[in-house]
Amino acid sequence: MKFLEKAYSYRFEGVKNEVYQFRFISEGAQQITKIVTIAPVGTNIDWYNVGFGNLENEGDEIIVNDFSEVNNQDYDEVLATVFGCILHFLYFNPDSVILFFGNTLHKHRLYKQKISFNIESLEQYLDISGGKIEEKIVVIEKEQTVVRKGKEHKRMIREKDITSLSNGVTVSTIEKYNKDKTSDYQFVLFKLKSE
Amino acid sequence: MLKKEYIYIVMAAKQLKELVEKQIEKSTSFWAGRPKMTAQELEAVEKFAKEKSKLFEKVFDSSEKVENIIKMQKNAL
Repeated sequence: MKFLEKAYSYRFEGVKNEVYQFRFISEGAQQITKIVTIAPVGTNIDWYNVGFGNLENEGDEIIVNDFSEVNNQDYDEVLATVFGCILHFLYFNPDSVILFFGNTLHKHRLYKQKISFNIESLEQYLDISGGKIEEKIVVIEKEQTVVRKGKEHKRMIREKDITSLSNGVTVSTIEKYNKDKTSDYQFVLFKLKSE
Repeated sequence: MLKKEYIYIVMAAKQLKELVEKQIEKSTSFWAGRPKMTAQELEAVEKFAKEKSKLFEKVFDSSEKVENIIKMQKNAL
């Protein structure tokens, strides 16, 4: 099965205050409601950031948790659905650019691996580039408890503390995505194929 | 633009249209009858997205930077 065909059925929930909202259900040991948001990164640039996470209850509050330890190990399906949402968005906003990165080192690496592995599928529709920033991002180590096959496991996640970039951020390079250089990329950009 | 490239882009646009329409059709039947998101859930989603966007304020905080970034992105393609 081709990568994008693995996508779950997402529902476009609409646009509120410029935020495009999508919802889908990850199937597996449990049903997990997942949210994808595509929101502008600034007022003077047609770039949008993609965020996704689990819709969870935290006490009385409802949150979207992008550090959740709850998942069905269905990374391909989830990522294919996120790309389905990105393509849906770009179809209606063909001049926009999507900015994409993982919020932990592990996820960032995993996403780039998946992009590289499925590059032919994605490049059918998208121009892909990778970029670097000049500043060093501080990494915070946090312990998480994950439940797999009914057993609890402790694991360390290495979260990127983007708030630590308090003195401004400078993009140093953006280049055509190269599968052999992905370790350098701190973000990935997607744009609809154009002239 | 070369004729070959133009045909390729038109084909990609047609395939994208088919892909999105197929997904919308699949989605319509899958989600039919399922509960809509509550106002509280939608609010949580918006809050999440806004928090994420805040992270980029320092990346795109001057028109000079924005121009430079756009230029780099265009040159990369």
